[in-house]
Amino acid sequence: MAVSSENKNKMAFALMVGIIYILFGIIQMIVGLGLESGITDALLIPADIFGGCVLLVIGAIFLYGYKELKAGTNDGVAFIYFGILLSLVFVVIYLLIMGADALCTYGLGMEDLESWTPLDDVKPGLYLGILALMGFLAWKDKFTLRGVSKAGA
Amino acid sequence: MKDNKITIALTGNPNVGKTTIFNAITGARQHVGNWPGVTVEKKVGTRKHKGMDLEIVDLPGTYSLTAYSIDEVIARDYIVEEKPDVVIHIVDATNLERNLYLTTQLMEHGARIVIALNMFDLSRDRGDQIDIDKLSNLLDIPIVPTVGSTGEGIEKLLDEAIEEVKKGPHHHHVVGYGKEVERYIGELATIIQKDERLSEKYPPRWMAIKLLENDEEVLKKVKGSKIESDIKDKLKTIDTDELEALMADKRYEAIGAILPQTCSTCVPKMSVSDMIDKVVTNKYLGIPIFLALMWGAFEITFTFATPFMEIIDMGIGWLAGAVSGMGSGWLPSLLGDGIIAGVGAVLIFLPNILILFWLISLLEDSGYLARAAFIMDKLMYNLGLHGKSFIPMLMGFGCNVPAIMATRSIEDRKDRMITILVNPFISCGARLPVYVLLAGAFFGRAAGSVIFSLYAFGILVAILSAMLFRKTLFKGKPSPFIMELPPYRLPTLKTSVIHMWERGQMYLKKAGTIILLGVVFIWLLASLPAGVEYGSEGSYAGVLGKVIAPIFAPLGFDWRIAVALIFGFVAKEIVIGGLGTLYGVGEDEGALSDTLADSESSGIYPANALGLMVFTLLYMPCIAAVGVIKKETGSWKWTLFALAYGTILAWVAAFIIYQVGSALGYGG
Amino acid sequence: MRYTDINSDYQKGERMAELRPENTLAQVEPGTNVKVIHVKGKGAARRRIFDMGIVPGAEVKVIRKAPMGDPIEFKVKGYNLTMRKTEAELVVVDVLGRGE
Repeated sequence: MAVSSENKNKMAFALMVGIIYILFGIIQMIVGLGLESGITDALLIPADIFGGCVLLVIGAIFLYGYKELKAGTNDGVAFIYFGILLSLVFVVIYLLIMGADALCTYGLGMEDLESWTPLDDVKPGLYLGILALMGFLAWKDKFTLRGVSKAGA
Repeated sequence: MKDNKITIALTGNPNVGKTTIFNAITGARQHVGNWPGVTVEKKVGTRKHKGMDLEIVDLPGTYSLTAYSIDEVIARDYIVEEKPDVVIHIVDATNLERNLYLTTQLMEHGARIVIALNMFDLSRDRGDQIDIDKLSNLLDIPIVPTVGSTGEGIEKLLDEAIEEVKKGPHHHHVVGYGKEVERYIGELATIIQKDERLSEKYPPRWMAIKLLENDEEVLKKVKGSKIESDIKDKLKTIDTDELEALMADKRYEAIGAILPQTCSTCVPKMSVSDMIDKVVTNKYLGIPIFLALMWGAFEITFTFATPFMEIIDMGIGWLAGAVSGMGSGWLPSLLGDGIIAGVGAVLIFLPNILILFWLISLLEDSGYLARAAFIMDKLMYNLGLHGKSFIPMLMGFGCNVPAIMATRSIEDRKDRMITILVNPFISCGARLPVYVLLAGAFFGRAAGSVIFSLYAFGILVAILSAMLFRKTLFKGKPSPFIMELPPYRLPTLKTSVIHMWERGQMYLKKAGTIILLGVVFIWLLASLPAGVEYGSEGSYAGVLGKVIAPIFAPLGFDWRIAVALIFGFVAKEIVIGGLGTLYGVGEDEGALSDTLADSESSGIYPANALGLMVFTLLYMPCIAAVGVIKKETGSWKWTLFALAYGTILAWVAAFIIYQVGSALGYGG
Repeated sequence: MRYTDINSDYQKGERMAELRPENTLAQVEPGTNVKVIHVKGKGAARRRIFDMGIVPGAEVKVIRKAPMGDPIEFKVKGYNLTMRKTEAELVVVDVLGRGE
């Protein structure tokens, strides 16, 4: 089955973002196991095994989408959109946590967080979100939840 | 209808926007209670419309009115026995066929019905052409298109409802079940009519149909009446198993006859929902995505709540300070150490509960929670639980209180009881400080592994207990898993915030009273007889500690640890504070760690330290958890059982650890 | 793989139905359309299956199995329904074929 140029862009995007997320996920898990270095510090990678797993999952979704598109199945697009969505969900989560820490430090002056700076809460899950955001902006008209109504059950 | 007062019942399938309509009608004028005798929520709201006082009762969402679940029994008993003036039946315009099935059953109840054709915008947008007038004519029921999220059509719906009440008694068209069944229905109805008491209360035709369907609840109603034997004789001559299929089929057939005439394009197509499902229920990615989302929800709940908990803590601290400024004596102590500390223990969890339930509400309203149950059901089923038990279990790692409250989504009572009873063994956040201190003091570099093992041990105990309860107390298989996977929807802020607020209120009101009582009780123990230092050797707590010390001796715990464990009932992290007081180092945790680690003087060795950690993990849940167990099980008996089971288990486990540890030379 | 000859699958389904008089919803592969013949068992669970639209004559499409192989998701009467294998085994069906 011929791959449309639109899908070719998506495949390239999914492959790149997928590999980056997986790479950072693995590194973050290794750091979580106690192997830090100057490079990981510079990349602001925290010692956080579970956070690393999340990056890994997001990366895997992108790669799965790539694989499906390559096999000629249009469903692959759904995986890429969902990968973008999930990355952005975690960006929001990390921003909220940063906000909470900021409130603790500057608003309440909590002792454990005396030396906290916003940079402490910057992590791959946050800044890699920029990649997902690019994807979202590129295809944002596809994210209209057509057929998805307001809920309340 | 009495004195311009009208009672309206809301019914409908789950996931059709019933709560949204309820909120749109009543706004904030609603209160949440329980249906008598069960822990199913009952929501009642009021509204004034055109000079009428409307009382709106939100019935549980059901697919049918058989006696399948307690929800269905409640919904239909209300309609049949309380006889509301009018029933508003909320129908999902995008899924008429299955929704109208409930309509056919409602019609048999003889109730006055108005249909709200909800999510009409969605069906319109996707190009459905529903001929509402014709559908209304064929069913002989007024139909009003509504959009719950925007409030569109709500006024008209209420107009129609009032109109309908004014019309007085009314006989609906009913589904014809074919010659053979109709003959049975006729014969049974004739027998039922001989009993005035029954036939006055219940529509005979409805009763006859339910009897043919082998409905246990209706059979119970017949029991003891003068026609019981006649009915039984009659039923013996009929193969009701065969009829059940036929009757359900006829109802769908009736719908099938109406629908094509009224809706030309109501054929569902591949939708966004199907695309999302392809991803989130993917064979390889489904479970990882679920776990990632849960972890995210967890992070938000317990990290984002921190500043708010801190604010509450500071407020409590300020109050306590103000009170201690009042001088010494029993009153400032009761207020400070008792009431304020107690209220603080209740309030401190409020941010967690609000955030967690807001997130759960978002997940539930979006439709994802049903997928979570779908994904995890196999695993939970093997443990004797239900797919819906997974989320409460997972939430227990944060705090058992909201986790136990979250079991409300499990319909089956047995499934739910087991999930509630084993939940306290999931190691909550409050137990971590105890582990950190003791593991740090006694296990040095291995502390991390010890703490991890404690979490794993808690999970193991929960699983084994669940399997044990399933085999003994709640015999039988987990309830059948026959569930709709509703289409994904965008949650509305209003609905989720209302849901969050309801849960928060419920926690404060119901759990709060029990917690407060417990805290005051502990305060009394710690500060009486008059004049002793709070929690010291001479206080009743100290005396009690010494009295019960022999029970703890085989575990290697002395009276000080016994007292600290009593304090831990308020909240498990207080075990640390209690030990601090009793070992005379106050609140300095570093000093406490050093003091305890000096085994010669503290009497604590690795074996009883590990025993103490396991004991803290398993023994009676904290007061807040006990409060919600009582609230959610609705029974003191089960609450006491949870207390006793956990405590006995804790004793046995700590005993084995200490004795084996001592034998191996780790017990001093 | 995805676009196998529908016809041969259909014949295979028919042959299977002949060989095994009781073909249940639990045995059918995802992607298959089936027609309900009857529902075995008795009691509340069976009534529930009827209520949800799995009545004799209804057409059901098997959508997928959950990641751990159980429960199974179906499309029936225009909505998505899920049942455990234990429940799906009660539903005796005729295989109609594969496809949308």
